[in-house]
Amino acid sequence: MPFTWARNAPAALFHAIWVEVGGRPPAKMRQADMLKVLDFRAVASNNFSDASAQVHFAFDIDTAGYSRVVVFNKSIEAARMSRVVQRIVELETYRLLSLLGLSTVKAYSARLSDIEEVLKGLTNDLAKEIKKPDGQVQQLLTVLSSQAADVEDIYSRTSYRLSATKAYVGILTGRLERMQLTRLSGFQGVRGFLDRRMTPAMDSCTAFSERLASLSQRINRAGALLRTQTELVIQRQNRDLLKSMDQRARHQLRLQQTVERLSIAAVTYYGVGLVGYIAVSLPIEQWGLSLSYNKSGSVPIIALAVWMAVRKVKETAKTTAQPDK
Amino acid sequence: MLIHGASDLRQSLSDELHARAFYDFEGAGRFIRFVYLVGNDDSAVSNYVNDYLQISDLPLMQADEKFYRIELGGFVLRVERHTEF
Repeated sequence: MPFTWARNAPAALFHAIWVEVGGRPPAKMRQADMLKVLDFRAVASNNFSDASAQVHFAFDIDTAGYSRVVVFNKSIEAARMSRVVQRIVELETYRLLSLLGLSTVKAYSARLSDIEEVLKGLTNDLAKEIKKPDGQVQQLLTVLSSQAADVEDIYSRTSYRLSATKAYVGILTGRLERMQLTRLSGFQGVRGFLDRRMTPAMDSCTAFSERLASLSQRINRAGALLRTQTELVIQRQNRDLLKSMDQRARHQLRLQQTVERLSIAAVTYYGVGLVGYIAVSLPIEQWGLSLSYNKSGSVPIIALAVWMAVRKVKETAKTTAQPDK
Repeated sequence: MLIHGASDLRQSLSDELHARAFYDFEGAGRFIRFVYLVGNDDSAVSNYVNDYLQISDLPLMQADEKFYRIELGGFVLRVERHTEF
């Protein structure tokens, strides 16, 4: 086998598994003997296929870079042995693939904790602002949006790996079940070994997924609260704006009425002046009238006429401004 | 019920069931598996394998071949292409 050639392939080597298959197991073999043979930190062993063979897993990587497995075949026939080896190799591959999720969890846990802290502070601030009569929440919305984007980013980067981890654990369990493992006296079993070593890692992956989902829900709830509060602030601002517009309209109306009155006075003044000019050119004394009586007498008439004219103009303007029915 | 394109798939689907063939194995032996992660492009590895096969004057692995197996002097070389799921 060209080992050097195989190991130098231009790709990331994920795993190298070395399976040795031999004949009947040595008599009176103990776990310490197998540990010495494999030269690993631990060994997990079982009988399988109705005790017709033994398997010893190192579940570790030696100095040459291989994870070693030893199989002693007592009575498994040739056709079945190839399937057994295939299953062992797959089991070892999926064991490592399922642990990929743990490295993802380790890589993103700190970032998730940071977001949780920020969100905790944000919800506290939100609660305080909501209790204030003129609470301002717009700046909190910016912070929340940023955190929501971060959570979404972590979700998109981790969800595939975490789902894959779950699937690999399922495949691994299936492979173990199909091997029909039974206890090998004096040896630590494969299932017990994997349960003890892998369960904490798988629990970490599950806990990470749950934390991510919970964080996403908290962000959604905080977002809903913020939106409600923002709508309330906008409604309050609209109400204040309408109130201020109403006051301004009242002032303008008062100013307009004052201007109207002054205009009536001014126009009446000019009208009386015109009456005076006309009266001077006429022989009113011969008609028994005096100029001053004539002018003062015209004041109420002119004032009434101007007032009526202004009223008419206002009514016309009001009719024109009304929308067609 | 007719599925569009199903007739074209019949052979490849049928081949899929036989792709992972098992070969009888008797006595003592050694199995070594190297697992490489290649992302979406495995051309570097397949070219590397084909270079070796070409130098050794052996039939090359085809671009669409998922399971390649060849018996060499004293050992068998098997190359498998797998997507993650």
